[in-house]
Parts: sequence; C-alpha cells; structure tokens
Amino acid sequence: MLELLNKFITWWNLVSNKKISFTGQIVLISPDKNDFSDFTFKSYDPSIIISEDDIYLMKMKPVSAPYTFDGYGTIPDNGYFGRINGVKLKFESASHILQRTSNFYPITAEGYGGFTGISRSTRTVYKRLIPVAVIVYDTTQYFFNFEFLYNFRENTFSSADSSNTQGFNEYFSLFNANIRRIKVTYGSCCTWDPPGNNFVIYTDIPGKCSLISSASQYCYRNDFIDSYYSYCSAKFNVVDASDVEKLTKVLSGTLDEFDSLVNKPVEFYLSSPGLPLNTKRGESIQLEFSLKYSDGSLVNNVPFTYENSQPDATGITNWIIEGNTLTFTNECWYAIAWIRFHSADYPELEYELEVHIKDPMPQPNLPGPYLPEGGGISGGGNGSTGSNTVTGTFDAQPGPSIVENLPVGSSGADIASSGMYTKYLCNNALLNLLAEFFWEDNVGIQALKAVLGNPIDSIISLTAYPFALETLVPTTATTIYFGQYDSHFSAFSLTKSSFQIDWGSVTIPFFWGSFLDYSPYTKIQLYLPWGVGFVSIDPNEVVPWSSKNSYNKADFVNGTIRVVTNIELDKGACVHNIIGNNGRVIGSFGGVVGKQVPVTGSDNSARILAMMSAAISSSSAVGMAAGGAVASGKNLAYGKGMTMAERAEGREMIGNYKSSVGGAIQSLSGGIASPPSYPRAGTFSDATNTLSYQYPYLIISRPSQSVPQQYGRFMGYPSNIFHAHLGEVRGYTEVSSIHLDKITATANELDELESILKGGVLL
Amino acid sequence: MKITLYFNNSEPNKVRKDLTEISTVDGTLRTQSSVIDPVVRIEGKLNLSRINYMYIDGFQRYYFIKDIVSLRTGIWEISAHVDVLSTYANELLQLPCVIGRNEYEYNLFLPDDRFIVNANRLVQTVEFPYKFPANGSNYIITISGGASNPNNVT
Repeated sequence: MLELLNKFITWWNLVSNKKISFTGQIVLISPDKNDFSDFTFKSYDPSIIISEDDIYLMKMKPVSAPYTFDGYGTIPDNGYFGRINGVKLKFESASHILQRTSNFYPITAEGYGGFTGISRSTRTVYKRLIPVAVIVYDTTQYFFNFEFLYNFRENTFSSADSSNTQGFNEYFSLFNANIRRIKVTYGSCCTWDPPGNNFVIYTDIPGKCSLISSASQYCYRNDFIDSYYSYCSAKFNVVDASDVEKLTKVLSGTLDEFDSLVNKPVEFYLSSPGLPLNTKRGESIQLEFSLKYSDGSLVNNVPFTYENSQPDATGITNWIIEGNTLTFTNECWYAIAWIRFHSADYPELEYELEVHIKDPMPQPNLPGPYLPEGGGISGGGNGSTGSNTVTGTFDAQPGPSIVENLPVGSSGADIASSGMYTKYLCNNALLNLLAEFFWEDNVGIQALKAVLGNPIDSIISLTAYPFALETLVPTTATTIYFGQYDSHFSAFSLTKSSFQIDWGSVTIPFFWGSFLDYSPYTKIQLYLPWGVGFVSIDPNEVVPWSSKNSYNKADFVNGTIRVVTNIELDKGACVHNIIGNNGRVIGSFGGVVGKQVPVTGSDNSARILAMMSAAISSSSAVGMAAGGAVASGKNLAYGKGMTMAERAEGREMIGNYKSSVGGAIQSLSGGIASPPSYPRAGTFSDATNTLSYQYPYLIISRPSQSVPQQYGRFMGYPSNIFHAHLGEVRGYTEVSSIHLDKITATANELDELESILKGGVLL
Repeated sequence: MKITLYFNNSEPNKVRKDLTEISTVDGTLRTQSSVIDPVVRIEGKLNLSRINYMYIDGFQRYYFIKDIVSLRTGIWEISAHVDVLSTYANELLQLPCVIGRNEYEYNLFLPDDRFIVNANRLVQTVEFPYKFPANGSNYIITISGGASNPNNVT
C-alpha cells in the first residue's frame, strides 16, 4: 500500500509539480451527527494529540444541490474543517464498540475505512456504516485516493433525481476544489424504495476496483494492497483453508429488501469448486456478497445491499434453485465456494456470494490427518496430591527391544549349514536343473543311488518364500552336495539361518490434539502378513506421548509404530515384532512365511493331514499355522494355538473397551463410546499364508467430531483447574468444587448458588 | 426501604449483570414478605416495558422479576426471586474453587463427555515404507550333506 501510495505521489508530483505533504482534514459524513456525539479521535501515535477542533462531523441533508451540511463544532461558512497532520487516527468511543470493516486503518492519511458501531450499553448494532466517509485531504496540496460507501438506510440521501450524484460531486468540487474527481454513483439497477439508498464513491485512479457490498461487522481485505481504494467493505475472494486472515461477512440488507429481489425472477445457486475447505473446530463458513458483471468485470456501483440476519443462512438454502445443495447443520457448514445470484431483469449482472472461512473465536488449532499439529491447551490438572504426593519418577526408559542378531544358538554359532545338511538358495532355473539331474539316467545319479538308495531322499525340504532371498540373506558361493557327493551345480549356501525384515516406521502425530487421539476413541489395527492377520494395537502406545506427566502438547513427541519381522529359514516361521513409542516392543505375533513345497508324494500327504487337523482345531482363530510349522507367539485377540478361554479373554480385552476403561465409556454421550470390533480375517494355513496381502499396514479409525461454533462459550471445555479466586476466571465456567463459606446467605440461597455455579455461569 | 427497578440486559447466569436503572421507589414494608421470593406492591406510574430486575436495599439483595400484576390503576404487584449470583458476587469471586469446565482454560486431554461425534468415523490406511524384492531366488532347498563333510566325494 505504501509503495503504491508513493507511486501515486510520484505521479502527482509529475503532474502537478507540487509537493505532497501529509496534511489534511477529516470529514465524517453521517446521516445523524448524534451517532458520533461521544466519539473521540486519537492518533495511533500517542504523542500526537488531535483536538476536537480538528474534527468535524457533518450531516448530509437530502436537499437539492448544492448541499449544505450541518455539523457540530466550529464549522466555517465555507464548510472547511480543521487540520490534522496526516497521521493515522483511530476512533474511540465510550459508548460504542467500533469494529473495523476493512483491513485498513479506520482513518489514515493513505486510506480509510468505515465501521459499524455497537453500543456498549445497549449492544445495539448499527447496521449502517458509521461513519461512512472519511476524507483526508490537503487544502493546499491535495491528493485524494479514497473510496467509501454510503449506506443510508434511513433514506437520508435520497432523491428521485439521479443527478444527485452530480450534486454530490459538485459538493466536493465546490468545497474542495483541490480534491480530484470523486465519482458518485448509486443504485439504479434495482428498484429500491427509497431509491438511491446505497451508492459508492470512488476515485477514478486506475487500480483494482472493488465492489462495495454491504455493511458488516467484519471485512476481509484480499489483495487490496495494490489498490488506492479504501473500502468500507470489500469484495472477498475465496479464502483457502490455510488463510490465516479469516473474517466473516454476513449477508447484509434487510430481508424485505432481499425478498423484493427474489420476487424478481432470479436464479440463485451454490456451487463448489472443490476446495478443501474443511470445517475445523471453531470454524464456520459464512457467505458474503459481491457484485460483478457476467463477463467477470466488477461493478463499480452497488445497487443494493441486503442483510441476512440468519447466521446459518438457512434462508439462503431455500432459494437454491440449481447447483449443488448446501446443507447446513448446526453451524458446521460444508465447503462452498460461491453463490451466484442472477437477476433476469439485469442479465448482465451477477451477484456473487463468496465464501470465507471464519475463525470466530480463539479455538485450539487442531490438525488434519498427518499434518503438523498446532493447538493449545492451558491450565488443567495443576494441583498436587498433598501429602500423598507421589515421589517416584516416571520411567520413560524404553523396554526390551527387538532381537537384532539372529539366531543365537547355545554356542552362539549359526546353524545355517553344517556337515549334516546345507541350505541353498534356489530359483526356478536351479530347480529345473536339479529335476533334470534326478530324473536323468547319468553317472552322477547312478552313484547316488548306489549310496543313498533314493537320491531324492537327500532333499530334506524345499521351502518357497514370497521374496527374493539373495538380497536379504547372507550367502557364500559353493556347489550343491548330495550327501558327500558334489553335484557340481553352482549355488549359494546360506551362512545364516535367519534374517530380519524391518518394515520401517509410521509416524503418528496428533490428529485432533485431544483425548480423541487416544484409546478408546481412536482404534488402530495392524495387519501382519503370513498367517497373522489383523491385531489390535493400543493407541496409547503409538500416538503422541510425553516422557513426563504433562498436558502441554509442547511436551509431546509424535508417536511411532514400527514392525520388524524375524524369519527363520528352517521351517519358514516368522515372528512379527511391533515396536511402539520410545522403541518399546509392544507385541509379538508368530506366523509362517515359508511355504513347504512337497517333493515326494508321501511328503504331500502328511502336509494335507496336518493342514486339515489345524483347521478343525481352531476354526474361530485367525492366521493359524499348520503342517507342523512353528506356531509361536500368542495373538490375544485371535489366538493361534490358544485355548478357547484365552481367545475369549483376548476378544474381551480388545473387542470391548468398556471393560478396559472401567465403565467410563458409559458416561460418554453422543456415540463417543468405542465402536465394536469386527473380525477382519479368517483362518490361514501355510497354503494360504502367502495368498493374502504380503505387507503390513495400519488401519486407523478415528472419531469424527462435530463441534458447534462457539462450543467453548456455550459449554466450555474440560478444565480441572484450581483457582485461588473465582474472580480470576473468565468466560463460561462450570465450577466442579467450591466451598461457599463466608457468604452471608441463607441455606436455600447457598444451595441455589452452588447449583448455579456447577450448572454454568458467565464471568 | 428503597426499591430500584432495572432493565437487566445480561444472561441470568452472568455474575455481574449489565443493568440499566429505570426508576426508584421508596416505601415501607407493610406486610410480610419473603426475602428470597418477595412480593411487593408498588404504587405509581411505572414504565414496566423494560423492568425485569430490581434491588431491594432493605433486603440487600438483587432480584429477578418473575411477574408483574396490575391490581388496579397505579398499583402493581411484583413477584421476584433472588439473584444469588449478583447478590453475593463480591464474596463469591473471592472464593477458591476447582473449575470443571471453562471457555478459555482447559485441558484437551481430559475426556469430554459432552462431545458429539458423527456416526461416520474417519478411517485411514497407512502402509509401512518397506517393500521387499519379489522376484529372484525364492526357494531354499535343504539337502543332506554339504561342503564341510570330510568324506565328500567330488
């Protein structure tokens, strides 16, 4: 803004060859001078004192041109005013709460904005812009780059003669010859009674023109920094959800006025460009209004403004004729981009309602999923436990971690290979070679038959895996021996009989930044491959945590969950280790990753029998191992190799959170209570272990909170804070405990007092 | 005894009320009257359109006006109930207390039993980063004997 102002000044210097100095005067134009009877004006710089003599209030009268004005204070005959020194000014009023209607300062040497006033005593909201105009100009050297909106609802500036604009212009010309062109237009696009109720004054300095929509308590200024225009209210563009300048703007104008428009054939619909305007806690999306031509160019004059006194815009939904339907529930609105209003009488005009996200009051800045979390909590739990203060320390040390070096035999030596047997890596090509060798009548096989009888019996096992082992398991180059006979087939023998797959970590930051991130509200299930299936994870072990007893989210670090699978290559068994926060192993579940490939007919028959018996004995379990494979570990939820009693216990623990939280869920309303668990997998066997999904993954189920606007104001948030004096507390408050001593009240009054305090008071 | 009639613009549960004085009447208590739920008769011209609150200095209490009955011309009977919050505000605000819920000071880790959640839950699926190589030597064959057998025959 300043940069462009400087540009203007430079331009003006070129044109006028005059020096620009920041001196000027202030004119307030209002329909009623009494609106400002107690207004004072102060500089933002406290060292600069503005006297009342410098400020003149003027009231515009609906008289024919040339206009005369009433004011109070000393008004020279020519209507000129006092002086200021081009400093930033602000209004203050004892009886009015002044709220800016634009992001500009209320009065500055560069620009200005109007505002609405709210009486402190009566809380009456002045719907019109008060004051509606401020002019700062220099009586000797002039520059003028203001634009402002008049919105006289009391018809104080009306005339059947549309040349009023000219008259107004003439006024400025008459009384401020130094002021550059001020163009005044006012509504003729719609039939208003009275006509000319609203109009716009703006300069013709090139720049972005904005629409003057309506009076509002808040304005959002978007992209006006390059504009010379200052607006009492401004056009708003769609605000991205991440935009921090969030303001609201309600549809303004009387409902009667809007109805008169609706009675014209109008189209009114909503559409959404699909912006991810997610409502967050404390946010609401409200609508605002602007005006432009159908070609997209902005209309420089606003023929009307209107108000919608319904904050939830339910009235608007009734007017939706086409387009996407927006359903408002409570005040949690769905994302919409804009509303288009079209008047059949003036087809070139389209009234656009645009949507912005409003953050009406300080609320915890809660994160979306896997986004950097913000949020703020304060207070809470700040007391000690008196004489029973716990003196122990909170053990934040990690527990036992995963076994890194596998396996550890009695002597520490690996048993991958020995003189008794050798494990070789094998691919399809090598298997084919071996098959050729066994079924071909050659010298080698004849020699083997002489010693081993049936050479194929030298094959102890053939195990298939879903992954390529050469990159996972250490090996050494060798040749394949059948017994003591070297087949001269080149191969790689394993030097270790087990290895580890580290699936990596998933970071779990705060989602809601509240109790909703924890058990039992958030549920986490982990799918583990190779015969295990889904296991339930305690969210408290893997969501953000703190090493100390803290309610301050700054003390928390993101939660993590990591899975490391140890695999032994003898029978293809595996153990999945789940590592939670702080590197602590929070679960181990056994499975089978290797699939035994039958080499002989008898071998295959034995496997089928083993599979069938395993399926019968654990029909309700998930991820059963079969065929004599290792069934290690216990999945408490869906147990392998568990008794029925143990399985029941596991289902009770994980499927029923009520028992785990001691009935606290019962007191929660609105469906926060943990939903039931539903089985996600059936029975696995070694034949099917590798047919399911081969990688672990998480399913995180979180509650979707529904928070009305101003929740804290109407219901407050859980606190549990001690205060030495109730008077220290502000806002909506429910007292949980108080001793009403030293109050000279009757017993009934004390009971009523305590009841009211616990029911909620406003402090 | 003086009765000051007000217009109360505040919520009933607000401790410090926003009051606008309408009028004051003086008189004496002629009949019995409860201090907690007084019924008083006032004579005179009153603008009752905005009267909803009063203070009785003799009782040193503030009251919500529950009902106003016109007995006859110029005679009004006002029923009221004590506003314990305003009456005892000064003493009350000095008392220590434990706050259960508050608009500005709170601990979001305390479960909120008034929270409402939608029926639809937010479900995410997250995979772990590692993916193993799938194609290659996918078999392990275990064969009797081996290179370390001292009786190997080549």
